[in-house]
Amino acid sequence: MPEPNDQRLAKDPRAGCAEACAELVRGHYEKVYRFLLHLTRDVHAAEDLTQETFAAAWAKLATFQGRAALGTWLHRIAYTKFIDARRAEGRAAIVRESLLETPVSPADPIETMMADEEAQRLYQLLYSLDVSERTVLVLHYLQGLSYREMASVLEESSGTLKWRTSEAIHRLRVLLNDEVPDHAT
Amino acid sequence: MPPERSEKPGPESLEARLRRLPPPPVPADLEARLLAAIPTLVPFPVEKFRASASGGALAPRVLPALTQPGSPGRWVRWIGGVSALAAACLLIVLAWPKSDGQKSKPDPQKNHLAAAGSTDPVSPQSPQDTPWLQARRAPDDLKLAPFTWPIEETRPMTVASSIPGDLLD
Repeated sequence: MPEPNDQRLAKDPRAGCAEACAELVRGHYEKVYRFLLHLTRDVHAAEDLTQETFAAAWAKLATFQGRAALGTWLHRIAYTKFIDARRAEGRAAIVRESLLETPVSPADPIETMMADEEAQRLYQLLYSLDVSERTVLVLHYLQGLSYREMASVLEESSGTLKWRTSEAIHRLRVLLNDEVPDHAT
Repeated sequence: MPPERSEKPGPESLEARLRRLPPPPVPADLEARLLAAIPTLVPFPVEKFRASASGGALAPRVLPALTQPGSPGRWVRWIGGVSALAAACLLIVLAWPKSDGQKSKPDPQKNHLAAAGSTDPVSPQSPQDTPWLQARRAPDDLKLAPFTWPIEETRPMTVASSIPGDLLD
């Protein structure tokens, strides 16, 4: 359900209120950026797509119906931007899906900023998943979206997304067990 | 042995660990860049557009704002547009030419003029009309010259007469 604050923010920018737009940016840009960072695994691409997401949001704000929360709507735009960029990048980029095969760049925030070794390892395993598996896990567990909100973002049914999330968790658990030989039975 | 390796990674623990993951840092200047992009990207204010006499070039950007759900004159414009469309459809239906059922009873005087080569502009003849089409349009009650078959018919063709007898052997 959209929050009343979202409704106000959605109406004010349509009237040209720059302050409401600024409030909208401040309230949502971090989540949008992190979502795109988890999807792209690239800081610069995530920054660019975040800016494109908000640019598209300003253009589409008049069509925002208020059926979903503004944050969910922004996630939907961000996901669409990611899909568009991925298609534009072509097949060569899709091959570079596995983080284990891709050398970690110095600007990688996971590598440079995560002091927690376990978190870093879990991020690496998460990033080694297929993008569709990673997307549902990121949306549900890292972004905190419900299955209903995920259905709005990914345009799939809640039941399908529950199943996909369960499958992705199972896949992540297998990777985790494979990496820890003590638990391999 | 590290503590995370001694822990059995059950379903709950893995989900909890995912939820507990520290969020990656956000670039410090990203917010400033997004905020700086607002003035050039925000849709043009409707009030300014209405007051502006030369707002035609901005219409594509403003159109969504004018059709927003909260716009006061939105329903009035919708009803007006639908009414105009319905009236146009009604006029088209009423002005449509009559069907073939009424073509069988044309005005004899008009047909007489058409047969006489009249250049009446009201006549439905067009340059693409062939003589066959014109003849087809001729009414039943119009006096035409009696039709004569161009080839003289000798006798009815039968199987016995068309197939020679020796071929049957």
